[in-house]
Amino acid sequence: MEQSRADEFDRFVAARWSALFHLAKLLTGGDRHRAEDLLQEALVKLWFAWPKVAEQAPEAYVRRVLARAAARSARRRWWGEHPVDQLPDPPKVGDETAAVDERTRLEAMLALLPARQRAAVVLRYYQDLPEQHVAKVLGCPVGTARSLTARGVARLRRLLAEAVESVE
Amino acid sequence: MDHFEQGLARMMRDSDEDTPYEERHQVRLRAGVRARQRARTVWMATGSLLTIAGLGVGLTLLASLSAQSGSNGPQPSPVTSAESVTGPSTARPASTAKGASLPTHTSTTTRGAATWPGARSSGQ
Repeated sequence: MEQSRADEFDRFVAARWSALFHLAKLLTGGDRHRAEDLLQEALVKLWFAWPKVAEQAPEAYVRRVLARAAARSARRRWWGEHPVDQLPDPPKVGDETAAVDERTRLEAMLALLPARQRAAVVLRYYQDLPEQHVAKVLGCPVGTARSLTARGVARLRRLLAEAVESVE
Repeated sequence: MDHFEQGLARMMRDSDEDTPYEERHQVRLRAGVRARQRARTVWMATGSLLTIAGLGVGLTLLASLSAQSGSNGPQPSPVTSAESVTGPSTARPASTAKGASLPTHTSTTTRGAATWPGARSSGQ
């Protein structure tokens, strides 16, 4: 019984690790170590909830734990970077490192958002969840989720515009 | 969804890179589960101990309270102390003499007097 539970759990984690890790990374604004810590914590919680959620939606459970933990995380992170006057150049067409640059830029912009706004934006646009589900995952009213998402997107828009202006 | 929002969603999905579930992840996860299991066991044991201690204290208090109320239980009626209580201890001797129920301010005095065996017998 216990062995089959462990096997099922291992299979689920192995299959979904990459996607969940990416979600955790976006939720932490690209901090790999923090993302790994968050995911480990969420999966430990999942292990104890496994008998209840295994048959339903284990991934939704992990997503909720991850998003809530990331949203309430007031921990200030260190980027290993120093502030500069200008944001890095945007990738050029055909550049081999374009994908990496784009990812780095996205993570850097996400990292500038407050944790709750970032969680709302990631759930809404990466997970493609409707506002009601975003609110449910974050454990807040729909209006709050809508407001968090809107403010997060507005800020990202501003940041991107500034980045483009600085390049031109 | 406007153009920017579509671009944002695309960037988030495109930035997904394949991250394999490595042995070290599995080891760490199992260690985390074990640690949480231990913490839960300690927490449950502490909770049980506290519950038992709380119940013990509660029962002791209850027992002592019931013992107290038991010793004070057969309170003599104030009527019997009408003659025994004399002098300044009663505010209204007239009413006590009639045997009417007294206000509580005399009850301690009355009870004290009433519990004396001599006072009780003299009144009857």
